[in-house]
Amino acid sequence: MSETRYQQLQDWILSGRPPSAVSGVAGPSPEYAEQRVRIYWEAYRLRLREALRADYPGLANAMGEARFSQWCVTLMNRSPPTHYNLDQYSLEFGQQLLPMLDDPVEQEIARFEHHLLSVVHSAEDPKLNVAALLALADDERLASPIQLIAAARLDHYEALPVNVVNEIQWLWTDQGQCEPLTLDGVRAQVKAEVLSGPVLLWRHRSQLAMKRLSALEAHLLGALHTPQSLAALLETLAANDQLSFSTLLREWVVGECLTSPSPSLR
Amino acid sequence: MPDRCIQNRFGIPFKGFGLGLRTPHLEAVLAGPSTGVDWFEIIAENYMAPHRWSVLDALRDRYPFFIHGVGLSIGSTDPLDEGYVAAWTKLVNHVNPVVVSDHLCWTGVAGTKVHDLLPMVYTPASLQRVADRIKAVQDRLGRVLALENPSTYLEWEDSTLSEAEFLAQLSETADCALLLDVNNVVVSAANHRLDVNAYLATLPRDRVVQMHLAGHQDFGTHRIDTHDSPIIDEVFRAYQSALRRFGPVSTMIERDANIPPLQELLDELGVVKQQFERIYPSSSVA
Repeated sequence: MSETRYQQLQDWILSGRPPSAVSGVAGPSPEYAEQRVRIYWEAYRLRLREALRADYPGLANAMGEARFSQWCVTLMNRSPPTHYNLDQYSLEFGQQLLPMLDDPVEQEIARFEHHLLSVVHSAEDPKLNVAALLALADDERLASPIQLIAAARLDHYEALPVNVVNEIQWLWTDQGQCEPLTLDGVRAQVKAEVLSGPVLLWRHRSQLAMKRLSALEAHLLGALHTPQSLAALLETLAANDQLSFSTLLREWVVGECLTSPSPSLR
Repeated sequence: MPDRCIQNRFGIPFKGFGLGLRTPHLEAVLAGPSTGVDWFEIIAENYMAPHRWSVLDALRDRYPFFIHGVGLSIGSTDPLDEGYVAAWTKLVNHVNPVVVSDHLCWTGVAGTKVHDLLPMVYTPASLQRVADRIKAVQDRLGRVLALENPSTYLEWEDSTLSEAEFLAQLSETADCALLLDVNNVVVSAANHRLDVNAYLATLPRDRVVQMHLAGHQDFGTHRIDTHDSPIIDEVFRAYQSALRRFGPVSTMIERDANIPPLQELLDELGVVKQQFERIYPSSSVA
C-alpha cells in the first residue's frame, strides 16, 4: 500500500502540471487534497530552481531569470534528480545544458561554473578534482595565477589602469549586473554592496572577471592560492594523485587567503 | 516542579544550546575564537565529501558537532542507498558527533530523489519495515540514530496510526532515539488539526535526545515549515511543555532561509536559554 501511495505522490510532484484528480489523501474535499499535494509540487520546483540558481549565478544573470527558470523547469521535467546530494544535480544540469546553449558568452560562463562546481562540490570524491581544474583553466588562464581575495577593497581596483577597470565584468554577482563597469561604477557598486566577502578574480582575454564566493567555497578554494602559476600548480597536482584536498588546505591555506592583484594581472 | 532526574535511556548528555552551521556564518565561526554557541549541527549531505572535512577539522576542538541528515529516506520503499549510508558512516566516524539524526519520511522512490521530506503512510506494516531499516542503519553506524518528526502537509487515508503513535511504537521497536522538532509539531498540528500537548504526551519520555526550534509561515489555510523567520510564541509555549515532559535536552535553532547575521541568531539563542531556564534554572542542570 505504501509503495503505491508513494509512487502516486511522486508522480504528482514530478508531473509538469499542477496535480489534479488526487486520491488517497485524507481531507474534507477533493480541492483540499489537491491544495495539499500542490504544496509539495511547488516546493520541489522552488527548491531545485533555487539550488541551480545558486550554483549558476553568472549563467542566470546572462540568460535572464525568466529564461534560466524555463531551462530549469525543462530539465527538471526531463530528468529529475537521482542522487541524494543536490550538488550532483547541479553538475548534471550543467552537463545537459551546455550542448544546448548557442550564445558563446553563455557557453563560456556555463562551462566555467560547471567546472568550478565539479572542483568544489564532488559529492563523495575524497580528492581534489584535477581533471576539472584542468578543464577550468584554458591555455590563457594557465599562464596567470588565480587570485583568491578574502575581501574585495576599492583600492584594489584603483591600483589598476582605468582601461582595465573599464573591462571588469561582474559576471558572477547576484545583482543582475552584467554590463562592464566604469571606475565610478565600481565605486558605486562597492559602496552600495559593501564587498566584505571573498571573491575569485582572474584574467580572461582582455578582461578581468570575478566571482563572489561563499565562505565555504573560499575555504575550499583556498587550496588554489599559490605563488606559482596555475599551470605549475596543476602540474604538481597531476603528478601526485595521492594528494587529498585536506592535505592541500593544510599546506597552502593557513593565513594565505588575503592577497591583492599581482602585477601579472595588470 | 519538573523532574530533574529525567534522562534519556541512551545516556546522551545535555550539551546546551546550538545552531545549525550555515555557510554565511562560516567565516566568522572559523575566525573564532568563540561565538558563545555551545555546539553546532551540520547537515550531513554538505560534508559527505572528505575533501570538505577540513572545515570540520578546523572547528572540532572548539565545538561539539551534531550531525543531521536530510537524505537517508528511511521511510522509502526503495532499498537503502548503500552509497549514502557508507558515506554517512565515514563522516560519523570522522566527526564523532553527540547525536546522529534524520527524518521520519521518504525522499523518493524508484530511484528518484525529490529532495523533500515526504509524508509516510502510518500502518503497522510500514512501521515494521521502517524499524528494520533503522536497525540496519544503526548496525552500520555502530550507534543509535535519532529520528525527527517532520512537518507534513497531507495525511494518507490508509494510515491507521497517528504520527505520534507511529513514532512512539517505532522508537520502541527499533530501539532508536527521537529528535523532537517542536516547530514541526506546531506546524503539523495546525495543518491537521491536532492537539500539540496530546502529541507530546504520546511520545516516550526517555527517548528524546535533541530538540529543534525554528520559525514558519502561516498561509491561513495551512502552515509551511520555512525556517526563514524567528521562533514564534506558540512554538516557545510548546517548547516549555516539551521540556517539562522530556527533561533538559540539547536545543538548537534551525535557520535555512533569510539567514540573519550571526549575532542576531545568538540573540535569539539567548531567548531560547531564558525559556529553558524558566523550567530548569541554570543551577539545576549539571
